[in-house]
Amino acid sequence: MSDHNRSPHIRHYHRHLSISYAMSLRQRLYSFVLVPLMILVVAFLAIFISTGFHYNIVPAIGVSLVVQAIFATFIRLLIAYILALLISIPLALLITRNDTIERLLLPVFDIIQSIPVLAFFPIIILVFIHSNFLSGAAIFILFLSMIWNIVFSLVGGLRTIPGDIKAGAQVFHITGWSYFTKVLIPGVMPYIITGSLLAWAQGWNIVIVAEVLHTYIPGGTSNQDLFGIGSTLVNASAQGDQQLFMLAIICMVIWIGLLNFFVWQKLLTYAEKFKFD
Amino acid sequence: MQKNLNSTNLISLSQVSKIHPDNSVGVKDINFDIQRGEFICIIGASGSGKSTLLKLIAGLETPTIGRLIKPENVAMVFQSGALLPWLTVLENVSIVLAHHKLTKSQIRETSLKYIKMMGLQDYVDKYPRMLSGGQRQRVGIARALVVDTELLLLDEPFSALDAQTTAELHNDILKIWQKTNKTIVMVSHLIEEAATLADRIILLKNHTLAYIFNLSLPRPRQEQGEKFMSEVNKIKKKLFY
Repeated sequence: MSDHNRSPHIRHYHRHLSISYAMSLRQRLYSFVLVPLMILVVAFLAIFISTGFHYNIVPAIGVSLVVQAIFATFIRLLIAYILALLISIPLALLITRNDTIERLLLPVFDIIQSIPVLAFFPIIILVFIHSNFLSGAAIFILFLSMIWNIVFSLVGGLRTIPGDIKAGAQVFHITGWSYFTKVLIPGVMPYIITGSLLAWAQGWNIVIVAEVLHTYIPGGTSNQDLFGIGSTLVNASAQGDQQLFMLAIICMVIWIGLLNFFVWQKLLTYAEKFKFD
Repeated sequence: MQKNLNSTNLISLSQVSKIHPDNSVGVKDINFDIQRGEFICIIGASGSGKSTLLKLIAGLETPTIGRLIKPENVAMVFQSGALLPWLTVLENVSIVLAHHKLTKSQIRETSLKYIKMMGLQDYVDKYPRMLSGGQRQRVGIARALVVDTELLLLDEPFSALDAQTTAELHNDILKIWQKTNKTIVMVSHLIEEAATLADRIILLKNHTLAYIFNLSLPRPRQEQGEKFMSEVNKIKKKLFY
């Protein structure tokens, strides 16, 4: 199947993946030093201006609270990501099983992934909030925001495994679980990693929606919110606690920067090993 | 699947046709037998059906019409090498033995034996991207030999290589063929290559079998000078006119 016949999402991922995984030193400096610094400077300036230049930079309280909040959110994201990854793989395999299934399912998934997460709130309320499983609601929201990046990336990846590789596996009887673990999963590893990176970015973007649940529940109270960095940011903002708000932003930027540097960049470099010529 | 076969025949194709799902013709009404130990070359222009025919023999596709008798286990060397980039030379060769009832050390020993046979003993722990095109094809050949099948299929394995490497690999393939007495079926678009290697050349034109050439020149054939060129010209005439 030629590239122009594929879904816009697959084309998007192909373009994305055509960018070299390995970053140059200049790109790394830009990504991990300059961009976080710029975010922090803009945030500080905004606070200084809004407080009439009387802002106390050193936070007296809340470091422990913010670290715990980030950890709680991270665990939530991690669970949602694992679920999204586990479901994405069979889903992508199903889509790419044959052209007819792909033609039927890909537009359906394309539509579903375009629906805002908030549209699923009736289901979330019915399934999770009525049974008082609030963490489940948050994880479900994060899962919905993460899964499609991985699915569409995987669909693109599965299409790029060369025909000779598949034929070789068939001729030499590398089938079933052996084919899955030794050929298929390594073959799409760069796409799993890129899709996962995008999924996590999407997940961090939606933590406020996932944790401040009461806003979307009819007659909801703040007791229905979940402790995490999203709810901490909203509460700090609502209470005018700029110190806590700043601290939460700074810690979040640092944590995401660390994750990017120590996890995603390593994984993207590792993915080079799995690329077909 | 080998029942009803003449004891000297390894492969038999009878009225074999392959029509693809989009109704395009792969091959049509193919009839021929391949004897044990023969070196067969399938040649033809692009789109003539030679790759489809090899896929049918490999079991990668099934005939739409006709009867194809072939061994169940085959080994194949691919045009691209079809090596897994995340595995080392040793791992790429030994992966095909994973489902065989062998211990890990037996798998390693057997794989190393064929890697050494192909002159790659210094590259055991290298990844495919660290190898030249010729070395990659040698890994592909080692992988095909390690499974020890009676039939070896070669799908234009030398088409992307330079002349010197191709000549070296031609010699290697002929030595392996003479030593192991395997039946080899190779697809090529080069008449000279086919005439250098094969006992018989099967010429496909417009998806059908157009002609079968029997080559009786002694090997090495390139050294036969005029006789060799005369054979090549005969095939060219049949191919182009």
